[in-house]
Amino acid sequence: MNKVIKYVIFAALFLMALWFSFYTEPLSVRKEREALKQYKPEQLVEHYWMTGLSDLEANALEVGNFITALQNDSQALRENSGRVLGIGSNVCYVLKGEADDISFADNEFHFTLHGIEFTIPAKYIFGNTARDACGWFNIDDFQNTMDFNAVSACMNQRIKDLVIGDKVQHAAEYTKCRFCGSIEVKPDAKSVEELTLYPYILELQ
Amino acid sequence: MKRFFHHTLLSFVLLLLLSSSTSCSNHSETSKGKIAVVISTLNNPWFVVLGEAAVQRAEELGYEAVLFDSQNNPSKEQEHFDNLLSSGYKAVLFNPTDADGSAVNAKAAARAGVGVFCMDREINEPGACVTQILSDNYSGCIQLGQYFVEVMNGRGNYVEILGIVGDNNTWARSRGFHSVVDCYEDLHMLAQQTADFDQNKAMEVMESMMQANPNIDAVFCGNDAMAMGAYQAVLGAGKENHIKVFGFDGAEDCVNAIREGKVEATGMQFPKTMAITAAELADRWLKGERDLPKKLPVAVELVNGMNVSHYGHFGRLD
Amino acid sequence: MNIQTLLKKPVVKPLIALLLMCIIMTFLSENFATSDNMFNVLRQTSVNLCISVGMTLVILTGGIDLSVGSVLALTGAVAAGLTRDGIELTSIDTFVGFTFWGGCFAALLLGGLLGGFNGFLVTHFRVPAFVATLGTMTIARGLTMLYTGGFPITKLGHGFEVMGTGWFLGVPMPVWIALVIILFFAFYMSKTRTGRYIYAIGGNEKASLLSGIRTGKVIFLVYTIAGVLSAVAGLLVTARLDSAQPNAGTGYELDAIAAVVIGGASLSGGKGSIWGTVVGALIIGVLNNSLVLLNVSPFWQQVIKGLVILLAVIMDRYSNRK
Repeated sequence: MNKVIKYVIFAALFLMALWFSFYTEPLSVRKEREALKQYKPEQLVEHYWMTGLSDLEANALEVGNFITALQNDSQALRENSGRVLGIGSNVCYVLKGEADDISFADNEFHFTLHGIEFTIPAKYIFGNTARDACGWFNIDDFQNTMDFNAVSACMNQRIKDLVIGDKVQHAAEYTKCRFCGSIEVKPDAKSVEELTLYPYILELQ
Repeated sequence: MKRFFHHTLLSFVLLLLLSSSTSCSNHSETSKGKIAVVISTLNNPWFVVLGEAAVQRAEELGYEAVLFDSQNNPSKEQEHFDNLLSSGYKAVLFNPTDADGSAVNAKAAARAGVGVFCMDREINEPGACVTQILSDNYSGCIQLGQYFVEVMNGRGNYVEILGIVGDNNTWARSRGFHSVVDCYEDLHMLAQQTADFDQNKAMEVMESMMQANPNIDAVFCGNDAMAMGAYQAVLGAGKENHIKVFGFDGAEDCVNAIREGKVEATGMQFPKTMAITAAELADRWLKGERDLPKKLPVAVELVNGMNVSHYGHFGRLD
Repeated sequence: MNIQTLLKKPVVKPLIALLLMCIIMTFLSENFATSDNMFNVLRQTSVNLCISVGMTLVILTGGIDLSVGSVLALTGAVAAGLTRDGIELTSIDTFVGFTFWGGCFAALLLGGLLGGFNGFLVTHFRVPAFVATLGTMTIARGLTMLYTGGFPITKLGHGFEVMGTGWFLGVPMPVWIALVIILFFAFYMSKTRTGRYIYAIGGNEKASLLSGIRTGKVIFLVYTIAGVLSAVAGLLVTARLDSAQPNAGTGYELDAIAAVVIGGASLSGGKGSIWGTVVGALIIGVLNNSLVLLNVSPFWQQVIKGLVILLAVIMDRYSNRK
């Protein structure tokens, strides 16, 4: 009798342990709930893009002013208008202007302004310039840098899809452009000869 | 019984004398306090430079600095934190072993009022650290990726060897690289494996990948130790004139290999800059400053055959 | 039971060594004899204590269990994985979520299964314990890598947090868990029939079998217990780190064997005690702690630890012969 009682007690304990061990719920419900917790940089980028573009353009530097300030007092320029991600990083600025000699070759738009050769990439857009120049995002607000870098990827994708978009199709026909975009220069540069521009606004005629 | 007493006593005292003579502590009576430098592993010279630069700068600033080796083991790291929290250390210059697993240790330190300054590797726990000083691996690998595309002329087959998968740096580097290289349809990744940032493992992994994929043109490794291992494998297979090797870190042996044309490029991280910055921020924090940035990226510079003469000794030569 | 018989107990020698160590360390380092540090040592030793108790039972029967470290890792990973992610059954659109207790229960069950597998190999197939547990060690490590994909499993929630970092009545949780296990098994070994059988089998397996002891069943039970205790250790490690590391437990079997041997057990079985092992584990824990407090280079620490283990065993053999 003893043995039977022992086994019954064990079985009862086992079943009780099982009862407290797990629960079930429909998989679809759980997936929905988990999806809401996922990090979505697109929403963040969209928010700033919708609300911040006009301010960005208003505060942007005219190319001519930029060159003069760079030559005369690059330190003041950097402190007033430049954005640096961290130690040793390049300085990012937002520039605006108009040019009337725009051409397209090799997946890139080219134009010259104030003696600087500008390149606007249309297909291969990567890097953190667009994210860092606008000043909308602060690395301290992100839990880890991968999330922060995902914002760059999002910005670049947006530039490729919306700003450049289908302008590539009739690229050869355009001659004039009005732009507002981000550039990057080395920390100790006093002059530049060529710049790669990642545009926030691009109007072609 | 008596003899046992004597034997035990004698042997233990001998052992302690031995250990005292090999200990590396610097007891300075006028120090401003103790700072611990906890490094993930001292097996890799890059981390040795990081740790020693941190200790040196902390000592220059007037603190007593002690170096701890976590041996790539979060349990060992936890033991170190247990010990340093109960031994009166005021700040920790911390190189974590795992972005999530080390969070517990940083939190315990923060709760005890000890300032944690992360170096090189990130912890996914906002608020546990005062400042995190990180290499901008993402941008660094974007530069590397761009150079990779140039060297490969936009076409070819390559394989990727990843570092420790629990380290955010591994993924930052991989994603930075891919954000560029994936845009080019004629560049194909044939395989992606991890070798845990270890040179030997990377050699074995590369050998296996070369067996499985005879038409590899290039290999991108998440750090220089693995790049050197991969190069050994390539050399062993006699393909050193065909397969191009890319690394990341700026380790001494890799930079020399670039000088000799064996490795194509690497990204120079600046361990000394990171360590010195960490020590200086800790000093400011201990003096009462509270307005310090939470994250401080340090830019990475591309080192290739053309500019390698400017680099060496884990930094710039000029 | 008077003072004389008490002093003759085998646990006394390692205990005196431990006390001597503590006294010497108190003079050598100002941070040793603080309550913070003492609790650190106890907390750090709690994992080894759990494994060593199981190892004591196994070694008493004349066997050995090399798989404890890998079982620790696998059970810890399974507990973490089930608690955090549950099981998704897509074909019937059901999600099976595990509570913290469920994760623990699953880990203990798995540990028991793996231990039972060892026991089965040793008793049924007559595989030497060294080889059998070596095989299980490798298989379990491989399964851990498969299950985790090489990634640590993190962010495990409140239950693990309390288990790893919680305090109860002024004593850390891991220490309580180790204490309960020690008390239970000390009682088990000295007061129950099976406990006495374990000693008998270790002393002379054939004689025990002939005198009617079901040696097969007892040995099977012993390995299963070792597996369950490894699972407890796995839960503790996972809780302390708030993450299940795929490389957890590597080399822990050596520390456990060292604790058992320093505690006075014989590797051929039949001689040893739970309390001896406890003292042995504490000696290793205090030694680890001392070397770190004295700032000894980590490379020298390995050398010194090895020397101490050898010395302890030689002392024991030497004084026994006299």
